[in-house]
Amino acid sequence: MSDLAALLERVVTGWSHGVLVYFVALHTIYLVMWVLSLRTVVAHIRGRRFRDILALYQSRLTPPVSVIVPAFNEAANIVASVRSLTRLSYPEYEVIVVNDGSTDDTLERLVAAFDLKPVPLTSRRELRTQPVRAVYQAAGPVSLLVVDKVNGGKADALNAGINVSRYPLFCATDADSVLEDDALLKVVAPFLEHPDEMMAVGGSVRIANGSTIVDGRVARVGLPREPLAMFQIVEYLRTFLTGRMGWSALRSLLIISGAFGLFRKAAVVAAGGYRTDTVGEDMELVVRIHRTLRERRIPYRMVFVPDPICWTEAPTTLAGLERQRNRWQRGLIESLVAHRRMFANPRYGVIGLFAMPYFVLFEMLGPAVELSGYVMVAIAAAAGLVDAYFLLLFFVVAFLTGAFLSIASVLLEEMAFHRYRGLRALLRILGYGLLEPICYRQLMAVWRTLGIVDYLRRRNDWGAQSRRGFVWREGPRVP
Amino acid sequence: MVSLVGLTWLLAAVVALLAATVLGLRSLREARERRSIERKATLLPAVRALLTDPNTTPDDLAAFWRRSGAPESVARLLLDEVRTLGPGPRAVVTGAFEAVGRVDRDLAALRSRRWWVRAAAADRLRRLAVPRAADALLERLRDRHEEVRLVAARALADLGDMRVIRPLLASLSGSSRWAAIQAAAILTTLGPAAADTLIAVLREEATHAGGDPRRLRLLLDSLAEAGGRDAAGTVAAFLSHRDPDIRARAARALGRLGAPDAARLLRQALDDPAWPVRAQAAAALLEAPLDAGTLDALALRLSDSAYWVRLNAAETLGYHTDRRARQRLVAALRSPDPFACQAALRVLDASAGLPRVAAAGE
Repeated sequence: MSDLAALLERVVTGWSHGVLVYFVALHTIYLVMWVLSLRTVVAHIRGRRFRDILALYQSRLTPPVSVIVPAFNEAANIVASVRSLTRLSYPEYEVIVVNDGSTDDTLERLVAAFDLKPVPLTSRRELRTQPVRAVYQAAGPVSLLVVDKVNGGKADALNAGINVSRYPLFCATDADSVLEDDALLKVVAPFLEHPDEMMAVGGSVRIANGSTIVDGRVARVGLPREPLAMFQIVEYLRTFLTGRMGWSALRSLLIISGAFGLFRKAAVVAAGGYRTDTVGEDMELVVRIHRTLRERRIPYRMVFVPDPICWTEAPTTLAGLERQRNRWQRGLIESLVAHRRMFANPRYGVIGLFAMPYFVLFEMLGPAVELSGYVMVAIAAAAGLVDAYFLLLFFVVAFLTGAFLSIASVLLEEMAFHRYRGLRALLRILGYGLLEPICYRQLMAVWRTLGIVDYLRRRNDWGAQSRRGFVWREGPRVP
Repeated sequence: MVSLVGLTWLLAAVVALLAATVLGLRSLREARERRSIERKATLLPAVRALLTDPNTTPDDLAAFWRRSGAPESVARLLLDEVRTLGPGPRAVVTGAFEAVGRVDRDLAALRSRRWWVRAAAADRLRRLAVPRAADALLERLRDRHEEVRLVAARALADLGDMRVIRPLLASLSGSSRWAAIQAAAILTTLGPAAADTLIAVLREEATHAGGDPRRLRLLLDSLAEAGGRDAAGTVAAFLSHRDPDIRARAARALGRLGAPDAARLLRQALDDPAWPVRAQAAAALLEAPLDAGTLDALALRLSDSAYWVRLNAAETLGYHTDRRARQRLVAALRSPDPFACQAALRVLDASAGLPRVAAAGE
């Protein structure tokens, strides 16, 4: 019996020490990312007053962009969403909506609202997709194409959009997201700074819950009442302003959100387009572009820029959020497994030696390690193997490091963007930043661990989508 | 244990400090915004009264500035106001900046070690249009920072200093397309004054077989905006360039320049083997006077194998003010070629031309 107790003690102690080392390593990386992000934010603040975005808008030399919007059963919002996309401030662009075999009246609503006419547009079919039934074009001055195709999933719809797009850059976005008026102008800027090397640029995604959307534009930025959405606001600030910006500074950006990214079409086509057999098609594509270009020894850049903003609706129910995080975790694992050859491989430079190991060790396995840490601590406490005061202190440290990262991200937001007006709003965000490590983080660890389990069980579906949809208010009409 | 306690307190202090910084920043920003609004409300009427008074001298404005008790607010207000002022009041503002020593301060700031300080100084000198700053600004065209170079170039262009043209042309072939776009935009603001140089450079480029295609594209686009007497002839030479993209740009530039013989040249471009050139030529003809031959050539392009050529040809015929252009489009409705018929139908429908066609019994 005493042998068993000794063994248990050794296992629990060893595991706890391992988790502790893991915890310290993870937070050190986070801290480095934050410092890198801080540097980028400061440079951004200094430079932006001299960046004449208006000159880009007025220039005939700004590269034209195809905005591709996959749509599956989006009848409720599709017209307002497309209408807002057709009013972006950008000198030359086209909007391509890909109706991915919707079973509702998404297509019919688009045809009626934009007076669409079928056109005999023969696509180049650079990427293989499900059959295209028809291509429609808006009859008016709006540069709008609608591709009606057999259902094949989001990635397949994006590939179909790429096939019919006519411009060298394409912006992938979602039908239920709202791009800020100048988002395209801002996201294209890195392509102008490094025209030969830039392959993709990711923009910020923010939570629109609680904001007022009028005529497809965010008229007033507000905060939601639902705690779950509030936690996600803090989480998105941390993910985009610290995580993505830090990785971008290291030239190791592995994720560009499917809701808002601008890509060089030639690079995407050369890499084979979006993969249709994964639920994480956005990350997989970015990793594959890295891999393809590194293998071909082509100099390239993929960056994140914080100020072009895309607003999206966050799930507000536990079930909705669970499905989303489960899918994201499976998508992450699929991408990492598909490109496992890059792991710790010096051939892929900083991506192989640092980014891939980080994503495998901390993003892929992290939730399971974290959860195991909680379990071990509980066992240790129950078995009297750990001092209660020490345990309490450890949890306080864990809470404070989590809170530090969230509040540090809010600081970056406050320095550079300060979108959330009013002291009360800021206090609420800070409050949720403090609360997040206590309850939200554990919830995420459980759901993401379940995502790992589902991946191992070879689950490969998107899960039911249950979005309430934005409340799109019609603005006053100009006579 | 002791070290964990220490770490806990340290972390707690850091988190508290961060939160206080966030709140402090917000409070400061809001207070600054409020103060700025209040000061603007107080100072702006007085500033505007002085600027609209024809008897105001730079010394009067400088005296008001010194008395105001808020010199930075007055400086910001004047720099905002100067954008909309005519030459007279603008000279008064510049004189006031000279009188209070701000111009000298900005000239010194052009040599600051911090690039954003240099750029801000160049921007203020641009708004004030200080002629004596020209040499210092010219020096900044060699600045290591792109932002400083561009602000300085814009300032020189606003001063009408033609020494800026060559460095701007050099920027066109730099690695940054952002800088190239800004340089091209600045070049176009110089108008015909820049056209002669642009034409000379383009002629030089035309004689070289392997010119930088991006630079050529930008030069063609800039010349299209700048205009100039001999521009069309120079651009026309690029319609036979080996790079189809350059030919397409040349076609677009020709349309933009609206030269008398643009229609003839663009008609030839309609037969180009590369469809982007044909598409650009078809679109560019919208701005050219059309003769019967060009109209026929456009009508022929309604059956082009490339969709965008058909569409652009139809749009040019549909939106051209010449009545005969629309007649060609209507005629295409009876064409046995389904592509031509559809292109015509689409444009007539979009331009609300179908009811008129029906009413006219066509």
